Amino acid sequence: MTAAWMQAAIALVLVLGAACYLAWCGWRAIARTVRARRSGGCGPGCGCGTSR
Amino acid sequence: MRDSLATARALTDPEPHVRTGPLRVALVGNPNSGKSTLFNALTGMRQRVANFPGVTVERVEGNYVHGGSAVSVMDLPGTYSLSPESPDEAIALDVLHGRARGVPPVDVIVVVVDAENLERNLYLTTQILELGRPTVIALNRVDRIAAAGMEIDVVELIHELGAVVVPVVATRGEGIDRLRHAIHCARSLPRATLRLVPGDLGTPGAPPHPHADDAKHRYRWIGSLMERAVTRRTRDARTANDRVDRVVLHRVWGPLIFLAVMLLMFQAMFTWARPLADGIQALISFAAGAIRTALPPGDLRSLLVDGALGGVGSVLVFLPQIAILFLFIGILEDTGYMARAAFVMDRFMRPLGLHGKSFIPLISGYACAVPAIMATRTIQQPKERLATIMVVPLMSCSARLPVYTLLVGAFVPPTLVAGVFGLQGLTLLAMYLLGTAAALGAAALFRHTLLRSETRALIMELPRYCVPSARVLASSVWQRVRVFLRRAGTVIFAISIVLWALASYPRPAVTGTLSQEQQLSQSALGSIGHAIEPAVQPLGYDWKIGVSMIASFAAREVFVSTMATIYGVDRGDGEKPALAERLRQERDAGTGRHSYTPLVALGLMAFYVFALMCTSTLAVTVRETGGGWSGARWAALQFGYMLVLAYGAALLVYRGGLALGFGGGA
Repeated sequence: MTAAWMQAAIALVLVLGAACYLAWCGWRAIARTVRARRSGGCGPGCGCGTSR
Repeated sequence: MRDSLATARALTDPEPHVRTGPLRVALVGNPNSGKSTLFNALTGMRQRVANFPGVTVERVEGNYVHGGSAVSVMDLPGTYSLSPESPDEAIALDVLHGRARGVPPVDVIVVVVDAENLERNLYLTTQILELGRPTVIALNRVDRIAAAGMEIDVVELIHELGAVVVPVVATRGEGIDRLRHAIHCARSLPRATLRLVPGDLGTPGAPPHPHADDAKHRYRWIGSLMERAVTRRTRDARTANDRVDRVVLHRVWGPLIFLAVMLLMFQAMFTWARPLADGIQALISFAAGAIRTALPPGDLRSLLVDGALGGVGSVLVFLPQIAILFLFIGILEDTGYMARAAFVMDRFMRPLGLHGKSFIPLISGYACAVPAIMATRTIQQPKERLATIMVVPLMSCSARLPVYTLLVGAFVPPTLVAGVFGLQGLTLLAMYLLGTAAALGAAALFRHTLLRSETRALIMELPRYCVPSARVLASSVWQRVRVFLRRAGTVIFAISIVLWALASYPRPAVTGTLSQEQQLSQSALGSIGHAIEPAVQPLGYDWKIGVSMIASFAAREVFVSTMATIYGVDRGDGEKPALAERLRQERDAGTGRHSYTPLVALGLMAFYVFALMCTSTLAVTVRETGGGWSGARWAALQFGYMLVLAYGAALLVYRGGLALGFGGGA
């Protein structure tokens, strides 16, 4: 493979990884909202510093 | 108080069944008596502490090992008596009585007593001792009683209360080992036999509020105990605290001092942060240069430089400002000023249907809306609490700061007003004041329509002023900075990479004849942007701002990282100026006029002042407004009214500005 193709392949893996991570985050956010009544403590990234 | 079988069992069983698990300890006490500080000292955790009542609003658990045995400690919200007045107090009492769902009964109760306010704290203490459960009294802040001109006879207290009393200084960790030992032995010691009031207030079936005679009887007994156990060296009731409060709580000086404190905070955020922000920018540029040197031109290099580093770096530049914001909020909380600010603002909030207790959650909203919404648990009146929850997200949180700072830095000149105040700091203050005014206005609207009820008088404990602990402040700032860094390294990083891909593909078959701008316009991101454009065009925005706004529904800071990624790809492979400079230089390809004018920037800031773009906030609103469909409806209303307000404000600013001749595009 040429350097350009290698770069494109690594970039593709990174993009797919990032997309999967965001999809997972989105799913968690929806689940958190749906389960809001039962969940305890703050959500991730809320910034309050008290989530454990 | 609710009656239940569990309560009856918990309260009447003289020897709770032996369990094999860890010893379960509950820390209870009056608000602001130092329970969370003691919890941190016992467990080594870093639960949030501050110098005002109502910081802890939920149950928090930690562990330690003493003498080879595991001990599980629960930090509970403060309460003044065994008759709950607010949701946070109810949590404490439910745990104490074994009624909390999924929480086993506690083995030992540690009553945290503020030695400086012994008389008031003894009210709850006597009620708890009457429960007849293994109890240890932690007499906290004993280091301050000498300065307050007092002496406490601990032996007399032990004798009269019939319980172990351990003097501690939780902030310095003094007496913690003795307290651990006392907790360890508590179950094997004889139970307290204190009985002050016939018809124990803590027993099942007791009336929800103590009879006035009971309270009088109890305070009479406490008064006589105080005479025997406490010696006052001075009769002068006026302390340095009182003298400071005469100025800080003054009808005229009070609000002016509060405004001056806010002004100082926003000026500092611009002036102090500048050198640090420049340093971070230089580091990012250096890293970009290093990647360009190390990698030949290609997709990976573009992804790392324009996508990842451009996106994440553009947000990281604002780290010093966020740290300074949290430092100031920490200082306000730890000195004891926050409670005074609530007291000062009570006069202005009463006509709006709120009282001063709502002010602390609102000010906490400057840091983050999630803990601020949880802090509303200290508000007793349900409709007042609901109104506060509905408006808290209008307070500008730290996630909006990068957006404001980028736009203010790009379009507001760094000139001085009246030779003292920087115009940039004043503009930032104006944005925060706009959010605060909108929150108060919306609260008034809710309180006079959907959520009508009487407004209670404010009764609030004013804590003593104290010099904030550098360790506690540093820990508090670090914890919040860490959350920001984690978000930059995860969500923002991932979004930047995905946006880079959308901005770079699909590539036209023949690129030679197209400019970078045209290639970007034909990318997937460009197509999405052009689809959105009709909705944002009336506000004076192009498709790039439209896309950035949509992306920022994931997190507000993403607006900045998206703009950075778009303009990184837009400029191709060469060296790029800072994002603010690129925004200033940007011109419309068709008309040749500046795409971003101060008016557009002002409208955009107005949009971000009002828009609710935070899923964590929506989730916590659902939970704190009762959960289920009812909670979901309140959250939907919150999101909807704020979106309408945001769009309306941006439209008004832009169209109004144009009508008044402030177009400014050249």
